[in-house]
Amino acid sequence: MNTPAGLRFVLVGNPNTGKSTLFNALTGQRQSVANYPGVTVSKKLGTAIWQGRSWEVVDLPGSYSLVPRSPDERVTRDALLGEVAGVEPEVVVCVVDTSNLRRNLYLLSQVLELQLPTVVALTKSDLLVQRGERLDVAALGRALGVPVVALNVPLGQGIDALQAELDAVRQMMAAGDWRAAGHRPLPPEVYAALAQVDSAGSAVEGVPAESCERSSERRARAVGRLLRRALDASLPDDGQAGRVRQSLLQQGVDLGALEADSRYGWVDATLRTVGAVSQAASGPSASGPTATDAGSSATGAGSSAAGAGSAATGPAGLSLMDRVDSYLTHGVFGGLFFLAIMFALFFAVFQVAEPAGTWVDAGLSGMNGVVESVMDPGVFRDLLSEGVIGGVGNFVVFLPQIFVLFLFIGLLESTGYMARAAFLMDRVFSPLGLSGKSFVPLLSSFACAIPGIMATRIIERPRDRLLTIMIAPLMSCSARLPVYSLMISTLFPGQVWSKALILLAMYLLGVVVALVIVAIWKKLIWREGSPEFVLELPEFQFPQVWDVLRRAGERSWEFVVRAGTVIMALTLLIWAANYFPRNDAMFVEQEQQLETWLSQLVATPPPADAQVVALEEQIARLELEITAQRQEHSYLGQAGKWIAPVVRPLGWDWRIGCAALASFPAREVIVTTLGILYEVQDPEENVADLELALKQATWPDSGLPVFTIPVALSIMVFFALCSQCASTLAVIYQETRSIWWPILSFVYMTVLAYVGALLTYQIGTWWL
Amino acid sequence: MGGSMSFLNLAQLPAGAAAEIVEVSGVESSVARLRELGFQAGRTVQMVRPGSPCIVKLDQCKLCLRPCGACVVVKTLG
Repeated sequence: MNTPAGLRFVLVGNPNTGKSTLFNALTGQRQSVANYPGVTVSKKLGTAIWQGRSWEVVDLPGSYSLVPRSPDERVTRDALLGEVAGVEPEVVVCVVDTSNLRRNLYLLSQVLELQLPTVVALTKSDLLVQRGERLDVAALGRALGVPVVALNVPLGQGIDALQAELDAVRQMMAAGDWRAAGHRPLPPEVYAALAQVDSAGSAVEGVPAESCERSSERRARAVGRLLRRALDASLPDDGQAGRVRQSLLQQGVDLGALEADSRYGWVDATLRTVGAVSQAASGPSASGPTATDAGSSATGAGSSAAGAGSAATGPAGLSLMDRVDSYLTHGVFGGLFFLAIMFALFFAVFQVAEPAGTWVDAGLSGMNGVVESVMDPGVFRDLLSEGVIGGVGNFVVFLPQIFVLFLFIGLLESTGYMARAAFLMDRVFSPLGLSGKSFVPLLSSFACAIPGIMATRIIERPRDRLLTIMIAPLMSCSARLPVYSLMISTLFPGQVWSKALILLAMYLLGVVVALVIVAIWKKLIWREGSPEFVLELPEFQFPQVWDVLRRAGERSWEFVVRAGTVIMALTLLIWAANYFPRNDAMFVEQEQQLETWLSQLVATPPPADAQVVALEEQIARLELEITAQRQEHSYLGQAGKWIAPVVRPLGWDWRIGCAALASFPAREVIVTTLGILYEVQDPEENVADLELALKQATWPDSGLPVFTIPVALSIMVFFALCSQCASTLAVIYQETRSIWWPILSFVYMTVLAYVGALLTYQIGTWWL
Repeated sequence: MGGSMSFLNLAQLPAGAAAEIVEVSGVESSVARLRELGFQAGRTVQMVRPGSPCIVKLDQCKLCLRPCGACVVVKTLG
């Protein structure tokens, strides 16, 4: 079963070139693919087997340059320099977006300089064809001196050719025949400065002298790394690289301008050789003999093509898609469109809620019926019917809504709309001291704060990134949806659109509070201006529907798994605290009385109506009394007495207080806990009918209903603002490498939640 | 201001207008970033949505841009 090892290759390229799609196609793994820059926020590893060998694939975050500006770009540079343990590249696959060759070849130029075996994978050639352009792939391969393969990854074209090319490189390396391309795009003084360090016989850092003589390729690679370090002012100024840099600076060389200008000089010369002059002004080129034919390889005989020349866009006007963009990014139209999309999302959430809820309810009552008919009464039956089915079941009801949420966010990502939204949001964020780039992780946080916080790695300035991490958990995530949905459908009867509006308001609350926090923080604590904002707007794409559906399905399944593990465990703990201690001795008299009445009821002849009704009422009252007393004496009931005075100002009874407290590890627990705590009031009721149970809950002293509109609002506000997710705190720790940031996040959010809920209830009661 | 040609800041370019980049100047780090993205003297940019941030088209690619500390000087074409 031992498959011989292939090579370890890394995928590098500009953001949004289709690296992740290629990675998925090669490895069969399913990582998130979206049409906005910055999806791969940390390296992804996978293996693939072809040509009878097992290949290691590393997908690196997209980068415009090997001079990093953000944490994710730093990962890419460090990995390419061989400084990330476990992912030192043996071969580089540079993914080049054919529709934007000029800028993509800039990064390729930096990659080629590292002297690692490199294969170029051309993607998105379909966009080029749409523009009526062509590229001579064979000529490009000759000009670059490395294998070039044209791909159409969504259609699966060209993958075989890429694999064959990689295997050819492997064979050449194994035979010792592989030679670096000798890429030298920079001016001679750079290579002269390099040669001073790399003079005959002297060791290059990282390569022992004796090995330098034996392996010139290894030496070439070391020199390539040395040059990269010398040109990167973000790296320390020591060692050989530092000496090269100093020598260049002493000659008065402007390193930034030198690299950009000479590389683009090389890019333009290369494009001219290939016949693809990148500026539209040159008009259609006749260089490409055939249409772009993904799947062919430049080193093979069948060359393929697409060259320069431009479609309908004259310099005087904008193309149709540019005009669409112009509307979507308009301050008023674009903003309204954005709100309309958000509203449509929440409308869809409630549209699916009702049929899905009924369906799940029916399933749960059926399961409960089976459990009660099969099992004997006792602790285990109660555990199964009240704890598992009643508790977790109440939570699973929300699965369809969460699926819709994931589907919507997936569609926004897949079409390319996300970058437009980031543009719109830059107008809001920049006066506050952040840029539109912070919006991308924040929008992901509407699904879940964890990927959102990880996506902050695309943000350049460390402080901006920290602040974005701090506010990301304020975005209402999918786990809050069940709480909102339960409260809204219980307390706010009415049309779907009015429910959707309340839901939209809850989401906006988190956003507005986050913006206020940013403003205060930036103005009072950090006192710094907004960062610059540069973001690519990818072309609109028809969403990859299957991909989006599959991804939404996978994330929903993660939700089910969570319900079955973490949520279930916490719920059972709550159930046990509410069920034990079981002081049956206390209730012997009442139980006997109940038995007597029940036998009387059975013995009563059918026509005695008034008598039956009175008896049934007596029984119901006694049952209620028993369960209330049992709950009061349970561990949870005793704990509730401590919580009650703290949560009373929020309008909550001790049960809501207990449920909120139990939800600190994971906020979804509130729904299951409320299910357990309120269901007991009426054991004859259908387990899944939590809404009815909540509506019927009353204060023991006054008999008034517990759940009023101010109480429901206060609960929703509390959950919107509170830090109730252990996993989020763990990710904040992981991303900031400091215990203080998660502590700060927890404290400020929890205080905010309490104050917010307090104000909501107090103002709400006074108002209504 | 001679003839039909005038120099201006990229941000002042009206929607739909194309212009040639004359120079990118300002704070080194911001300038370097723009240069790496392909803003070189002699290249043509087209304005899609003016303002701050603006959307420009360079080499067939649309970019959102709100440079702080860098100024792209352009001359209008025609």
